[in-house]
Amino acid sequence: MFGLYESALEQMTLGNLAMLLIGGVLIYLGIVKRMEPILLVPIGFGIFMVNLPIAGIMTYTPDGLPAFGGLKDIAEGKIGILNLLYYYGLETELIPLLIFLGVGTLMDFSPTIARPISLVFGATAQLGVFVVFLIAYLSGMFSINESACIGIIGGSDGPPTVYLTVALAPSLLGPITMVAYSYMALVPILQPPVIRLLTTEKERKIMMKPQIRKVSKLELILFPIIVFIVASLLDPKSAPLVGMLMFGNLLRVSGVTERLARAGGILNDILILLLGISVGSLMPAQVFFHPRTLLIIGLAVLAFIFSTAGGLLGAKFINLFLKEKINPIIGAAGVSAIPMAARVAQIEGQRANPKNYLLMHALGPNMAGAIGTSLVAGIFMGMLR
Amino acid sequence: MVNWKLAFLISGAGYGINILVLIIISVIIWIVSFMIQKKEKAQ
Repeated sequence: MFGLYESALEQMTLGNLAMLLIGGVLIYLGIVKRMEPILLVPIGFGIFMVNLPIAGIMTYTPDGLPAFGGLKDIAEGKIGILNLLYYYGLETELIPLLIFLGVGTLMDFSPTIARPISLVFGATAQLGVFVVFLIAYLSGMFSINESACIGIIGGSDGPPTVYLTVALAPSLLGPITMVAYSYMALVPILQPPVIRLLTTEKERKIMMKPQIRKVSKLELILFPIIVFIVASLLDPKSAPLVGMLMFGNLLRVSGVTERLARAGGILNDILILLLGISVGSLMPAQVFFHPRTLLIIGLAVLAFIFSTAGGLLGAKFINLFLKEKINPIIGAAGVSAIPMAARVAQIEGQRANPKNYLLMHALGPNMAGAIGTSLVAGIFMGMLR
Repeated sequence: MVNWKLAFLISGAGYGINILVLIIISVIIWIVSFMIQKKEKAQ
């Protein structure tokens, strides 16, 4: 109006409106359905922030990547505040790594140490990562680096997914992270049919002792140190992720650094907040409404299904060599998605045999899944970067 | 152009290495735990 007043209404596109709807759905799922609220609410609001024209909270290059600049550029209106957050938090890979430190302070590896074979299920449950990597690449729609980042969604672990995608395919960070985190909430829906399909009723009824062996403090302290040293020697590129996770865990179990461990937990909350809003800001309509994004959504379902199958088949294979059989359902918990996949194992186990308590046994592979996905991120980085 | 040989190589080797590394870690953890438990029982 007279060149003095500019409304954003004229510049709203149908794409923007659809993205506002998607952001609203994510906020609804977070608040009303309690699905991953600490992530879906900030991601949903981040989507609002970048899909209201002219607001200038985030600006993009013609390639759809966030523009880079400093404080002076914010003052001049060339970039927005979220550009800074993206650059210093995600582009430098600082946020996913520090989140893993915080996650480590919250994790109890006792079930994994009590049954070390659980670690193998955390590895076999990465099957979906590699199968979907192949499918995505052979479809011809994605480059080899992009395919690796789509595949790792199957690991069901946020920080390694973000870490790898920032390194190999930053243009897909928005859709991949949103799909990865929102699908984790769908684990209770996606896993049970696969579990029932790939196990017999007799296998699902296998009883396991309700209690796990009590793990000593020395074992708890040695675990993060051993895992970090071995992983760094055999898969060096995974060292930043595994190192942060294990460092955080050492703070928790050492018994002398409770204050630092508590700080790690608080740091985790702050960083998840920043991650959520940064990821939401990577989803302007022009980037999100692309056939490739829709394909990523479909491929992610396949990745979860194959990963669940990998965990189950791994447990069934190990059973061939064990005198005291394990219930193969716990293998499905190797997909990480802590603790939801372990809860699914508990529910499915009880459905087959109401006297069975699989939760503690399933937490072993569940925790191992976080290590497995970090190793996979390192393997892809080593091979493709 | 899609290099399917490379894709299969990365996929197979990647999955294999991942399993191998975690098997090695699990064996080391098992040995260390076994030794600690043995020592504790002896005490």
